Amino acid sequence: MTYQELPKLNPEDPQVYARIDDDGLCRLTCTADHPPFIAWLAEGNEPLPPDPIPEPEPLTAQQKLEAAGLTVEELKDLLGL
Amino acid sequence: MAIVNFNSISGVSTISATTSMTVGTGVTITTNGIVGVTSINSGQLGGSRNVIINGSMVVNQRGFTGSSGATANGAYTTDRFHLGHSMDGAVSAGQTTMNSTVGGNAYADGFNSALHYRVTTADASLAASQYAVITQPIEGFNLQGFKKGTANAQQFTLSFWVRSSLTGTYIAELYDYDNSRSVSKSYTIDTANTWEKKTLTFPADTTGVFDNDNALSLYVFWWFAAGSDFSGGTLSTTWHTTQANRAIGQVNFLATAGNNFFLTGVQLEVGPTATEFERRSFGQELALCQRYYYREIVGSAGAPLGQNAFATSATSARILGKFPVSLRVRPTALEQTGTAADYAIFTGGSTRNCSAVPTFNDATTESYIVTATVASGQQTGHGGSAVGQVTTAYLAWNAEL
Repeated sequence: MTYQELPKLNPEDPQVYARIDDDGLCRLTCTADHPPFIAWLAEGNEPLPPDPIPEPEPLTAQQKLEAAGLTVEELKDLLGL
Repeated sequence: MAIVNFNSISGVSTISATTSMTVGTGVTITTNGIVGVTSINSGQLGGSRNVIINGSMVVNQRGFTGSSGATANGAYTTDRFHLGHSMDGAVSAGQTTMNSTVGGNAYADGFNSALHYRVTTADASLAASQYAVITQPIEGFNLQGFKKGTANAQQFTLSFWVRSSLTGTYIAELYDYDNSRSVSKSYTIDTANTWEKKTLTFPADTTGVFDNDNALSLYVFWWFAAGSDFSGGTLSTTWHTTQANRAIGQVNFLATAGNNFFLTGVQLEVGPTATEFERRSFGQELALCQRYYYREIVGSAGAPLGQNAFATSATSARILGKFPVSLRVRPTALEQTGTAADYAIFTGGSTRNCSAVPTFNDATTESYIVTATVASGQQTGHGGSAVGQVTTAYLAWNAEL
């Protein structure tokens, strides 16, 4: 078992750590004041560094339209096509 | 003072006594009240006598079973009961559903669930510091009725149903965590694999007050094995501070793989008398347990988790929710299944599977915020809900002692 620092998705979020179990799964995440995490640190352990934040997959044209709440016909009308 | 004895009396409209009236060896009516009453109509006298939570083992939020139980030192099994051990063997503990065959006299007494503790790897030779117990820790707020550490200190009576495959002497112990004082009582498993009701009364302690707060004050221990550090002295049935006097005579239950121990109907109450088990509704018992651990389960695929959710970016969302009861303390961690695809976020009319497991964001004793991550496609600010994609999906927060 080990802990890994998680990247902050939003600047105002607290620093969160993932407990990585021996089977590689993360079943618990915690803040720095979580008592078992503090005890683990006290044993001389250090959390793994965070993985880089994955870039979001680019939106398709259809997804962009949906996000804007537009239909293709409405877009055509808007553009005078 | 005249004493009148009679076996029965009838046809008399009024019976009066200046000092007291006694029925058999049990109930005595005095000018100050009724004493020696163990039950009314063979049932409990009133509510809130039992300071043990989930004594009937009906609440099992973590889902451990007798065949697939909790194993780690410190792990909780049926709600509010946890394992404690340092040993070379291995054990497993979880909830067992009773029937007339498994439950015997305990089932006949109305108990349909039990904690099943079993040895999966033997440890026949204990080192001095090795031990194994199950315990329920109790917070100080719930113990003030014992008036411990005062001139009016009260006795403690512990009663429980037990069944073990190994006969012999066992130890039950009260450990005052606030003052590092303990008291032990032995009990005997007379017949293997047979339910037996045990009642142990521990003395009052005029030394060491239980703190009146939400922190740990008392452990109730059921011992299974005790190395010489805990068993090298003389069993102390009065309150003491000597480690070696805690578990003298305890059989080594760990000696043989396959040993089974069942426990239910646990009650700890003020005074020298074990009254009938205090039966609470399942909803009451669950709420009491949720003060210490809350697991929100979906129960069916596609059902919501939390109260609502909203997208904070194309790939992240926040799940918001409120705990059904106030937790004992602010939780600092979030538990989930460990599989990202067990969770999804529904916003803007679309459901997107999570690309990472939900993570802790913030919590108070009343409510929580969870961060969820999806691959793409969300519109910032769109609202919706979190979804459990499998029946076993859950989010859980721990506020145990």
